[in-house]
Amino acid sequence: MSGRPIISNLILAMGAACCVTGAAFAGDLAAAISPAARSVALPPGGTATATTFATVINRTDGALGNCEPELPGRFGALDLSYAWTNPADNSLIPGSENTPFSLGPRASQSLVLAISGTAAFDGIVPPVFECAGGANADTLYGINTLDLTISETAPTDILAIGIALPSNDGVIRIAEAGGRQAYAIAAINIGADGDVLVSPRGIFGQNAPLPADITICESGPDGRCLAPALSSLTVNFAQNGVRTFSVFVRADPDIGITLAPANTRVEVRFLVGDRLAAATSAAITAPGPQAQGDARDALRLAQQATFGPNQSVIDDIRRRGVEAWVDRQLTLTDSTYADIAAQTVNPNFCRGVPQPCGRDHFSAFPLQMRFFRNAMDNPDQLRQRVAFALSQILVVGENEVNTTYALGRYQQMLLENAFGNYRDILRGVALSPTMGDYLDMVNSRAEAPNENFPRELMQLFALGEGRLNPDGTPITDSQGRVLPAYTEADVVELSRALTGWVYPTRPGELPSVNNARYYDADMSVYAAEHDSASKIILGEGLVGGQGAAADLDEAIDILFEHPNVAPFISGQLIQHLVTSNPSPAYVGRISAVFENNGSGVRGDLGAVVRAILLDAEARTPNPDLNRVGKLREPVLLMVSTLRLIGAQSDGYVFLRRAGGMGQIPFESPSVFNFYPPDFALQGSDGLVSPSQGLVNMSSIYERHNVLYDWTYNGYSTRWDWRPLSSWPGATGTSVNWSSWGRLAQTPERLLDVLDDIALEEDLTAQQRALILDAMEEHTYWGNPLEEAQRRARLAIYLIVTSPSFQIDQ
Amino acid sequence: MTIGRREILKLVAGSSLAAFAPTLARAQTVGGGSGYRAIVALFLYGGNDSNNLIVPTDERHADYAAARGSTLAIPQSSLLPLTGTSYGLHPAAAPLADIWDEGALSWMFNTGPLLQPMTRQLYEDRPDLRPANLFSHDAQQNLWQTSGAQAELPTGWLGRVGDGFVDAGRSAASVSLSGAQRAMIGDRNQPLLISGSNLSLNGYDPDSTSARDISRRAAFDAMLNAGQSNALAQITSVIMQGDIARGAQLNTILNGEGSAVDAAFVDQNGAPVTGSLATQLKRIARMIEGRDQLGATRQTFMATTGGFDNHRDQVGGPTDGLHAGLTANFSRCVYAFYNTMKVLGMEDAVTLFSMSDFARTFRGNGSRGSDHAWGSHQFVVGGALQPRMLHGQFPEMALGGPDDARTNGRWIPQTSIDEYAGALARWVGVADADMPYVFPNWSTWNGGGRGPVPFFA
Repeated sequence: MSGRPIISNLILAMGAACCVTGAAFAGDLAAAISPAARSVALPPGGTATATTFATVINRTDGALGNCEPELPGRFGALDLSYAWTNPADNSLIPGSENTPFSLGPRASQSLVLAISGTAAFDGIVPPVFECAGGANADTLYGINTLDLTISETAPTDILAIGIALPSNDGVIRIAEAGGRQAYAIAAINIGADGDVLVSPRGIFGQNAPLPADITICESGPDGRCLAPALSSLTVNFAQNGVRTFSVFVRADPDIGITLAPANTRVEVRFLVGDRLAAATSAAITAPGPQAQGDARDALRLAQQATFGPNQSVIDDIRRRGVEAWVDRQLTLTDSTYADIAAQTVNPNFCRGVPQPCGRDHFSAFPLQMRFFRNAMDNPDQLRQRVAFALSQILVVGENEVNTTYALGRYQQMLLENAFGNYRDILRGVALSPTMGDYLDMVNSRAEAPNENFPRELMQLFALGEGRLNPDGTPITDSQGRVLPAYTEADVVELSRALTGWVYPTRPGELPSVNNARYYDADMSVYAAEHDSASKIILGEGLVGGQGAAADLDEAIDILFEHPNVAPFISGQLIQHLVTSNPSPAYVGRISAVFENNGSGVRGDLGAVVRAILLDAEARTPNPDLNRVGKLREPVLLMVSTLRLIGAQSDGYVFLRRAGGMGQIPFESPSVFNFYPPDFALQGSDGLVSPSQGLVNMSSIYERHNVLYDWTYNGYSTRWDWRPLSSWPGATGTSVNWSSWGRLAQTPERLLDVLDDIALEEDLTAQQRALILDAMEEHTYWGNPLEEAQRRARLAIYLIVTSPSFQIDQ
Repeated sequence: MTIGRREILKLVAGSSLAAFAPTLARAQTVGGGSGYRAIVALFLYGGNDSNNLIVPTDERHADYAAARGSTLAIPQSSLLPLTGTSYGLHPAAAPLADIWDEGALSWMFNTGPLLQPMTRQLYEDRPDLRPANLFSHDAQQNLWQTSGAQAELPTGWLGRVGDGFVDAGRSAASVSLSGAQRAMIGDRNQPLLISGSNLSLNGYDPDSTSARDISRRAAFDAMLNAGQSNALAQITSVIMQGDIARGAQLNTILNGEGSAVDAAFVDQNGAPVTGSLATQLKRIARMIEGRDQLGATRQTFMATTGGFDNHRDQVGGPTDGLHAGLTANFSRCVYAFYNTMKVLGMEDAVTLFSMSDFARTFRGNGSRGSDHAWGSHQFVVGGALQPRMLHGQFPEMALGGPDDARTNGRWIPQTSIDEYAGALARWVGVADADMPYVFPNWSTWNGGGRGPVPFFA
């Protein structure tokens, strides 16, 4: 190692001083470094030195002695020296080179640091600030680390040399909800000439975007913009040139930004190509609207009404309020399968045509990709959740009907009617050629009616097997036997009523008894095959001779008006959205809304869903612990995990992993769905747990392994995250762990966040301690950023594989 | 309130721990003597059309052909004669005919859920005596699996057989290779439910000594084993804990090297038999092969296959159509399983038997298919059987006749599930005193000319 550089010479090149732009918020010391990035040239056979300024603060009420900065042992190739500076002008205090200092109670010391090396280097250097007795500062990426490049060719090296904030404390303080703030920064190029991209960005805890608009302009000596402010700009920087910029921040009026200097920041980056040449950042805080809802309740609602909570969803619910958030969800219509449904093809369209023709037109694949992408990203989360529930009550599947547009048309009907009327759904299902094909109502003939659809229409889609009270409890006879909701004779009569339907007649063709397979309309009547005699269904008569269409409509009316429908459907929707074992009173309250939405309308699903989510049993913070709880089914477990960690995904990853857990949407093995609504939870004395029907030894392992793979083992090159090359616009799946890594710089804070947004504050002190221990053991020499991200992934792995995450309260 | 972990353990995991503990030297309350025995349930989901699996070849074939109709009926000439009888098998069921010839297959005619012996008259007069929700898939599957008749019971009869084994300290009493199945659920017996091959945790090496792995395992275990605040979460997490604890041992048996099973699992031509059902049966064979490692002495297994709900296109020609393909598959799988048992020397200790939702209407519908019916024919395979026996009564094939509950050939069973299953339960070791626990309606079916079907020598 060569001798220490002469610090005083270097200071001159840096001009005016910089200030502390943030402070660590844990540890006895707080430390900050600015600038946070340097690029320096390595002279042939010589030593390169980068300087930066630091401020160290004693956060305790006692004096601390023998304080000094040093590099962690793993940076053996670099050398750190330092000197004290005058905080007023950053001038060097003579004779202070490499001299430890003392800090009085709550006092601070400003320093200049010089880091030198004799070989090329590219990485993040985290100086350790420590006083006698072990008092030290937490390492916070971007705050007290230096992003250092030492290269053999002269780099463009920008020093962000000044940041001028009205508040004088290094914090961008926005005064009111939705308010603005501007500040100035100055920079000098002490390296070679070059084009530099100047790009501001917001940092907001984990992967949520900072709720603020940020723009930047280059400014003249009077502070005015030379050109309108943009989201980023490119300037040509001459050697030793000084440029000034103005940064404008406007906060989102609906979301507050709590002051958390490590995690809420505005950073301005100077990029030369892909290389970060300099960066300077400042903490930001802004007030939100007055009403901030309860965080735990917001988490519960997000579990009930979305494909998985994350910080953005929880914040959104809290600022809008539960009721307003639900009401807004009822209006959203972002998701659609209509374009897939419109791609009609003939049955022989792919004959002799290689893949992916079959995949794209004769499988559920395009629909499944859309389903998962919508679930990850689209705002109409509640509509999607309800449509997913309906798709598991009114089941069709690829195993019987593999025509893509047919499946798309059916699922689009459910999506459009998710908040519509259940009678429209029953009628739509009965007339759908997709269902007609799936359960054989198409081509059911008078001489030998097919009983498949009529039976399941009663048993699965409308009534259930046994008669129900309005609260969903069974009606029994004097010996305790459940009374049947319908008889075999009703199945036969309904089958007769539903004869005479054929595939829809193609435009320009005449209906025939053997209409070709075609799904782009409701089924058509072929009158000669309809049994036109009178029928009696559930005690109500259909007069003879009135035709297939009238018979179908009246039969649907009879079923829809049956008292079983309200508790049967309401109860299952509650199970899909909120809890596996709703109390009879809860079912009863929702049944009443199904019976009458308050305006005399029966079957209004929007009103039913709203009532389900706003019901006291869904919202109470003190549920009945003997019956509350719902195991996340595989689709929800997978999507909620990737939503939690902020993954970007085109949906393919889910299709690669869902099969091992037994639930691939639109591929139910039969009309009885992936699991029954009354699956008994063994050993529970009467509880049901529908999705437990998919749980067995193998799927328990697979649940763990998928979550392990996507978190602890979540490398960007994972096999299941790769894009499918034959899929147009494939992106595969990716996760940006950097903001999690930033959070993990303060492990306690990371666990607080995860506990809040993933666990309903379930972590015990012992669990916290063990997770922190494990994080501590995960060290990666030479790469603190990677280390922090791996620690974050470890903590997330331990959280999402836990029963507490897999089971919603 | 918080449910204590200890109480829950008593409810659930107490039995799960017992299920895997080495066999305890407790007094045996089960009969059946010493040695290993197992029964293997093969459930054909959707309602197998057994009316076409075994068909009279004598003068009754004319009744059969007339009632079924030309669409569904298999021509007399296409049926495979069943040696020594006046019946023939579906042409796709040749492997079953071979097992019959070996003397290791028996037939059970027209069995199904019954509350009490039933006639057409009684069916019409007394709706209260009909089994619950006849002709419905899930209800009839549940009656077959729970041996309820009046109502679907929360536990399965195989699970209750397992309860007795657990009480007697036997290990790994109930195993499903088809995931969760109601048949396997007992009261004190926690079944092993398996659906895939991988029973190991990624990134979790119990033998690693690195501080990183040790600290991660400690945190993982603390998260996994934490008490949960509500009952559902507590029970669910205890099930997760039990499965994770038991998986490692099973993984070796199911996926380890050195097993004789894969080479033995072949059809009559020596060709390997593959597919989902084959995989399940191979895993059952591996567990039987590894019975000593598990400490297992009495076991019930379950494998399933689906697709039998052929409301349309059930039959193409005599040897094709959906049902022919399904029949070919399960017949080959059963043959390969029996062959594997012979290779393992276990054919006398293991009995496989079929179940299904129901048979299908004798008269087809208009879609080249058939609808849901009631009584069905089943088969039993194993070396312990009396050779080449036809049990029960074949129905009179008359639509609307005395054996038809309605008008299109929904046969009223003449043998109850309890009699059919009871014979298997007795053979595998359920004591007489425990039969009413396993079959709540046992008193109706035991005595007075009724009782377990005499399958075994």
